[in-house]
Amino acid sequence: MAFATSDPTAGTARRNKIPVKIVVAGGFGAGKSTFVGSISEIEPLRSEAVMTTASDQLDDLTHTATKATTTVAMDFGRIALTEEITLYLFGTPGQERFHFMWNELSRGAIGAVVLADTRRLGDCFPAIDYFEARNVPFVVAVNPFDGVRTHPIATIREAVQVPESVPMLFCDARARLDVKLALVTVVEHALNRQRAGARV
Amino acid sequence: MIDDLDQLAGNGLDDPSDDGFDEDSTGRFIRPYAMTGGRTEVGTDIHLESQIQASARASAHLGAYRWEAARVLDLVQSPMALVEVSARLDVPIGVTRVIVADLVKDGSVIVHVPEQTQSFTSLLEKVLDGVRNL
Repeated sequence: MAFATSDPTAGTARRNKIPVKIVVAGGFGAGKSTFVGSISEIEPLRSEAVMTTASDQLDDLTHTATKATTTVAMDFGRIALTEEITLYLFGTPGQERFHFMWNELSRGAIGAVVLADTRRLGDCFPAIDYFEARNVPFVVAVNPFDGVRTHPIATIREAVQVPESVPMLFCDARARLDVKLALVTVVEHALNRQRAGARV
Repeated sequence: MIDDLDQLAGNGLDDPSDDGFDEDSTGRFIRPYAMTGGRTEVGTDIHLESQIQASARASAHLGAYRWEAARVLDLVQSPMALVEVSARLDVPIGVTRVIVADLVKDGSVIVHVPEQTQSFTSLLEKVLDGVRNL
């Protein structure tokens, strides 16, 4: 009570703080956490979501209704872009069984960066399918783990089967400038689509 | 403060010997879902990135809260995203959301709802300028 005058907000949203978010998806070990850590202004934090899911039928020989809980961890970072806008970056597991988490993450997201690992390109398919199906603007960022950009982008584009309209770029997740460029690319892409009226 | 938080969070949440129902004394020795009485589906309109902030009325209620709600109030003296509260509290998102929703009901915290003073296009333009300047 002694501090009643120290907080002028008094139950109303006084300042117009605008949080925005970009999802960083990709297969296990594709560099999502590294990507977030390369540019976040705070040490990336980890939060967990616990979900109750129907257990796999193959595990359920008795056909009784059993449930299993799954804990999904996501790493996130944040960057104050302006006085009012804070960007949150969410790195999230790319497996299909974690779609429940993606639904929450994608809600209101500006767009997504799908990290592709050239050694395991197939691992990013679930993420690509997901964002395509939900009309979330995304770019594919190819993390060249061998340090050598051996495959041209055109070849990788063909391999992951994304149309020319989806921007693709190389991105060393450890390199801040590469990460920045990936973010610029996805925001530009989202803005272009917004201007073209693709996203209602 | 963070060390203190870790100590609190580690002080029973992962303790397998805990039966999850002893919440009368300190309120610490309980499982995450015991904190919320098993409710996990309230406050779903509080997004991961929603900014939470203690209100002027928070201090009046502070003494009545158990540690986890008190910790939330401590964390959100300045606006903080729900997901960051969850991470710093070391409590799952769903549980954090329930705690925050209860605090909103009490008038102890507010959830900032950005005013729609600009178009989405103009917001994206500002974001683009922002990331270009990183």
